[in-house]
Amino acid sequence: MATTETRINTETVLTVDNLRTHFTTRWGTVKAVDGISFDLRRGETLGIVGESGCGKSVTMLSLMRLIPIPPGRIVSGSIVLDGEDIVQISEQEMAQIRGSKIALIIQDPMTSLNPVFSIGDQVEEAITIHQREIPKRSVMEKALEVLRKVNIPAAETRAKDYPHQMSGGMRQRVVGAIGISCQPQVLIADEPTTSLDVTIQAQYLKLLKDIQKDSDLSIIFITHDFGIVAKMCDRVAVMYAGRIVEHGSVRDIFNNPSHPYTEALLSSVPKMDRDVDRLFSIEGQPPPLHDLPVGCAFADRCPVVMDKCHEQYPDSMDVSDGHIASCWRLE
Amino acid sequence: MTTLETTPQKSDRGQVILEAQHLRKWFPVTKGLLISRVTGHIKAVDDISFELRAGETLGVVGESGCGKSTTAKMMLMLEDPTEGAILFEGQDVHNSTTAARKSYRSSVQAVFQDPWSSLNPRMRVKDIIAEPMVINWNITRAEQQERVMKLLNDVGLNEYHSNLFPHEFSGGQRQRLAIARALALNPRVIVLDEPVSALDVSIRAQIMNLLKDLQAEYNVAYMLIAHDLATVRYMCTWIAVMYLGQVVELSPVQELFTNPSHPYTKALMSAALPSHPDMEQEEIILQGEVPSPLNPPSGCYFHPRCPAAMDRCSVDTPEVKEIAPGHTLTCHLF
Repeated sequence: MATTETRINTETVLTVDNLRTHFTTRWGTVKAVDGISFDLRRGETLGIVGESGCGKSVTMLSLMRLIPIPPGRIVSGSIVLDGEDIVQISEQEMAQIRGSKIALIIQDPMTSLNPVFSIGDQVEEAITIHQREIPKRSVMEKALEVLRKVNIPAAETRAKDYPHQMSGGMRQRVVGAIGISCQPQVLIADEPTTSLDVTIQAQYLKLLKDIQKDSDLSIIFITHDFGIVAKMCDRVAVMYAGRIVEHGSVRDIFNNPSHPYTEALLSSVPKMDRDVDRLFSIEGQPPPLHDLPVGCAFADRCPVVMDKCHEQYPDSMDVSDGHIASCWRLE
Repeated sequence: MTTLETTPQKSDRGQVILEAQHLRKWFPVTKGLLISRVTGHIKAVDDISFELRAGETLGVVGESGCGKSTTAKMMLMLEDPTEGAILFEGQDVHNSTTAARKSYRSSVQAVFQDPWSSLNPRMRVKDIIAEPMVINWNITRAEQQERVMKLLNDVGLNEYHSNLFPHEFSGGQRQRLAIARALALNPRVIVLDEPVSALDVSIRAQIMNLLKDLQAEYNVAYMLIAHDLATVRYMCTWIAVMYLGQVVELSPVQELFTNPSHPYTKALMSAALPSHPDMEQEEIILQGEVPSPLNPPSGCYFHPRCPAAMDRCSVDTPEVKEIAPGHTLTCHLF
């Protein structure tokens, strides 16, 4: 897939090329991620959008090398992080990278924190594992510094608290603190705000933006919500049935959606700022991933389907500079 | 939608079906095991009033803990209000006969957020949908099944689905089943508790459109509990914004979105996610979190987080004021 050629001054921190992650199940091979490519530049935010089952979470797990093997397997492709292909390295080497160069914030802060350790301990743990050069007595200070960075009020006293003593928003900030404690280059945020209230979500998104500005962090935002994409992302990859169907800058995607799926998704969301008479609704369901059709996976639900769509999967085609989509309509 | 103009001449609008008058729900907090004493009250809902009219949708928005689910439970008679009254077609439901209460319960139905837990996994679809009729109506099995088929068609499923079990359906289809069950008794009011938030984006539009179509067909009133303002704008005719058990702003939907007036409503709107990257939004980031309803702040409950707080806000409780026809709010700024 021809990716964007616009990076002149920007340094690429992560390049994913033709990644395929499959799962062997009793129904056959589930092609959860089937040939996706993208790159991520320093300080930018990439949104990966799609519905449940489109492969966005498996993409995230592949990037972290957390795919359960078996049944899963990275079949082919490369993930180059900071000049190193992390698909090829050993588990021991990956354990060094995971958490220090690439970190993860997952959706539910209730399950990602350990209920029997204080939050101070949990932040310290990440620091002691990945930054051995820091002497033991200053680990605590470092942990408090990170907690202050995510705006935990009275960090000294709150560090002694256990997860159940904190509200959902606070807990998610602690998870964020652990994520950024080792100054990673890439932070993957998997729907980090879905369990939060709207005003708390706004606080959290602003915090992430501030941290990103301070430390030149690259963020991959995995979400199903175009609102979060509009607010947070520079570039967007839209996934459907294990593939990226459209990829471009956030304005390209919103102003000129070129894949029928992107177009349909955008017009099926109610708008805050204007009245909509009737929402467009995409009929049907996504196809099962173990039994994908030969051609385009969206063909059965597509309003502008052609004969060719059922025969062959479309190549990715350039819509404009840095904006690509996989649809025969663009040929 | 011309709600603004029609408000004074109420005859243009549907008939009032349900009216909540000064509802309160306080949950006692007790201390001590043997000799327990009440040490305080959680004021989950604290003096709210609204009305529901046939064919209209009232949206209730607010953050978690604002009392919107408790309000829904009181509407469904799953909780009794501590004070205040619910009038159904002009009659106080809590001070009426058992028969009247039973008929109220069948006239007010519910669709819940999670269709994975609201349908009995051991029952076939036809039995799930027929169950309200078995309990409430004296009709034959054949008549029940005929109605089940009609309801299945109404919600976009077919007859062949009637013999399946809930686990054989996708999330969107299950929500359709829940809607069919809610419609079974020809209700006047349906309480929708976040009906689309557990569904996928592309399925949400299907369900929202279905709900609108069914409202037009059955002339039923909806009370929609939601947290997403965009959904509320699409679905509702009226919106009540709740904060810490109180309705801080109540308005026709168009008026609220063109002229949001309470500082909390403004903050909610600015916190809502934009629908386009270039959409202009006022940046109001509220500090802190919602205070505990056990010990709400003095004066106006919102004053500790309010960007426009004045001295009197921490002392005086603001009264309800009408700033435009039908548009009421509680704030000292007006």
